[in-house]
Amino acid sequence: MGTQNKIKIMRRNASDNKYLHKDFHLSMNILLNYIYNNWGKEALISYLQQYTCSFHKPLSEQIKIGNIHDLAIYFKEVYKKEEWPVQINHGKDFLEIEQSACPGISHIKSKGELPCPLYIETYRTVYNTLCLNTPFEYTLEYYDEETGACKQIFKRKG
Amino acid sequence: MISCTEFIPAYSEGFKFLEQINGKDEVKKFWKELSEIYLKETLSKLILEKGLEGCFEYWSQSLNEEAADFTMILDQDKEEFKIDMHKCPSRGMLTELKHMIPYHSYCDHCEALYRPIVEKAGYTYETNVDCGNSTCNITIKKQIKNQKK
Repeated sequence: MGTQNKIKIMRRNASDNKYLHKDFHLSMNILLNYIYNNWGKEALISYLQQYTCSFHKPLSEQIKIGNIHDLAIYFKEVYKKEEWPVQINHGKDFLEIEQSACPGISHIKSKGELPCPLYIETYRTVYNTLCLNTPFEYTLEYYDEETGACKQIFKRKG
Repeated sequence: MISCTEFIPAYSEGFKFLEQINGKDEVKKFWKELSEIYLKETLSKLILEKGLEGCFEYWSQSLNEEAADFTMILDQDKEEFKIDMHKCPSRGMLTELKHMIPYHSYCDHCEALYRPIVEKAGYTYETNVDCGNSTCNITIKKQIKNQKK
């Protein structure tokens, strides 16, 4: 940053910083609340399904051909970028993800806000939708509404 | 979970979803609410307390955390704050996601969020946006008394 007289200048290239804007969790929560409060639960679930089908399309195509390895890599990358502790175990027929708290819920609460009453659907609906028409099924084994602590399992059907 | 690093595509889809259920007015209604809630404790407070210095402080944090490519200039003598966004990380991300179609008016949300806050604090807000190239600029100036908005 340069300072000359009463002029302050800041110049940054994209590569100067890492991409981690935790306040986006707050904006996301505002969107979830807006849809839920104005249009109800079904609308919120429809939105999350639409988002998943659109954003996760490449991942879904890999899971459809039985490749769960890419899903494991995806989750490892996401938690690494979030700088969030997680336990991830996987084999060719399963993937388990266990966390002691959710990064989104933790940030929302740290700012004095409350997570959307249906925040759980950012897990349940998103990953159930991701598994549609694939050889895998998704189970949210447990989920703590207060912290977002949870265990998620993707398992090959049958 | 929707990671904060995946928020931009989730937002773009959110705008599309709101427009599908009740038209563009629904998207604008959401942006208004977002501006009031999301910026209440940040930009809104900073610009009222510190003026243009508050703008510099707000965008210093958000643009660095978003890894934007930008130049930001605060000129106290001219009572002017400018952002030249050389590459917007949000619009850039949407362009790079070849399997997704961004919301057609995605870039409009910035103006919808910031203009009301800035004008309420007694400043003018001017912007030029080139969505296709993920570039834009914003100029915020002290409102001259009796100046037409």
